[in-house]
Amino acid sequence: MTITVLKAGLQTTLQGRPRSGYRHFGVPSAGPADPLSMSLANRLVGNRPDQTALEVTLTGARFLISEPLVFAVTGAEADIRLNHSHIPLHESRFAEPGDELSIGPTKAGCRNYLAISADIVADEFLGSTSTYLPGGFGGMEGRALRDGDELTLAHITLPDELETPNELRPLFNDNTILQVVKGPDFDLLADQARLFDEVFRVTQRTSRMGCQLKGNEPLKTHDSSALESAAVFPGTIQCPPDGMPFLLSADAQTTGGYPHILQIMRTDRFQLGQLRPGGQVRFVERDISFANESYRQRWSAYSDWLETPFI
Amino acid sequence: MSETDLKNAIVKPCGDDVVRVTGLERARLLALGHYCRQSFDFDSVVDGVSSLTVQFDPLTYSAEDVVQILADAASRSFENVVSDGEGLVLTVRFGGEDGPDLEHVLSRLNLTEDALLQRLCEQELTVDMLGFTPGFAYIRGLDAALSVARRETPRQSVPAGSLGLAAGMVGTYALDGPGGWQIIGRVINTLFDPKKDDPFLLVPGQKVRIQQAGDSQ
Repeated sequence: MTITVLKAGLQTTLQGRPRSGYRHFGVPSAGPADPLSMSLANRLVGNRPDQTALEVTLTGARFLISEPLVFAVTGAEADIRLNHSHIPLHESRFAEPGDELSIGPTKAGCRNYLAISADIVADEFLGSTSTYLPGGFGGMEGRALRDGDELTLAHITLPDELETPNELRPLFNDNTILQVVKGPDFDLLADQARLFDEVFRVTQRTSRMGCQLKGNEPLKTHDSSALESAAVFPGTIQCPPDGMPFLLSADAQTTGGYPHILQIMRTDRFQLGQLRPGGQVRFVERDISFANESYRQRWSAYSDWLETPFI
Repeated sequence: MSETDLKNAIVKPCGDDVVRVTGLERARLLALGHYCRQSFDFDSVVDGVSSLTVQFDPLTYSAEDVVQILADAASRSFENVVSDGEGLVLTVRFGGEDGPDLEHVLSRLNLTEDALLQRLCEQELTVDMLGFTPGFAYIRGLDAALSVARRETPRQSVPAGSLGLAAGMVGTYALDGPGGWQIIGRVINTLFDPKKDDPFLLVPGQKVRIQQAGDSQ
């Protein structure tokens, strides 16, 4: 019972639940860079929201299916084809042995999530199957998938075909507005207003670790040499000495010493996984009580469709 | 709990789901972290050099709740502080395949192997924090004379258990991984056991002493 990776593309990894509770040991959480899209894909095939699925990046990937199963693809705007017929995002489909599934490349956004109506057998490390590439653990031997890899499936089910309700589908257009709350080192910024006036561009330095942004000119900070290393998280925005804001994503390291200028609101963090080089980002400042309320509302909007919070 | 400690504790949000405590002395911060991990359902409780940071789920707590919880907790008295009690002995095999940079370190420091090991083993050291890579422990308290620079070219893979010197500190690699420290030996103790609830042997604040393998003292 397998799926064969015909073409793994730029980076395809297995991701499951974030590896939470180990950050004080220096273990990053990993997990999907866009958890909302992954939970929606899993929902369509009858899985738990954080069940192991495939995260496909930018250039796309191709798979050969050798068992009857149901699959769904969500996330970035991309062409999805089963053999030669077009499959829309957010609609699960039945596939037969010998079918070839191709995903992407992405037209807008950065990552697609492929969920399968089965348990994908993956390495578990500290309670999670999520691949953490720099540490070489989780997923498939701790590495990205390669052409020719075979994924073993267990407990295949054949649920009915489903569609994500329209109003619950996130849309990605490479013009991203991120709502942010001031971080602990916001006051170290010399030109604070620019952060909220300017349009930033995502540079090539983009990975599961984080995304670098470039403004019209580098941001200036006051002397930050006295800052001591403190905890950082996915969603933390740092301003290193080069003045280019760095947005930490799913594989964020656990501590950092650069000024922590902003924190992306939890409600908007899933969008980090869809930032692609060349994309535009703008920041909107919010206060904490607005952010907490917004997250509760987001969750309540999804709670009829998704059984547990994973966004 | 002295009045001063309470006055100095600063508890502040760092985002919509992150709250940080600063202004306490390190042993208290570490004890506070330990208490928070045991007593509350936070997503993460992470020690920094001079801070403790908590990430929480806004569906469970509001930022205000967490500020209050941490302010209350910061004024408690902690009996079983992590750094109290017996130091842990790390047994190390030095040189050879286990410590490929030992010769280089000896020539840089202009010391004999015996002299280096004597200085390394006679001091009580303290785990400062874990980070950089999973389970990597920064251990301070090293004799300043034993300070060496990192390797110019980091190794792609350093085996689990490796013990290195750099930046005036001792570092231990709990897992295989890339690393740029000067590797002088291998710790025999199991630094990482995935089957345990606390899979990493070393925790911030832990006192350690280094002993040479085969050296019964």
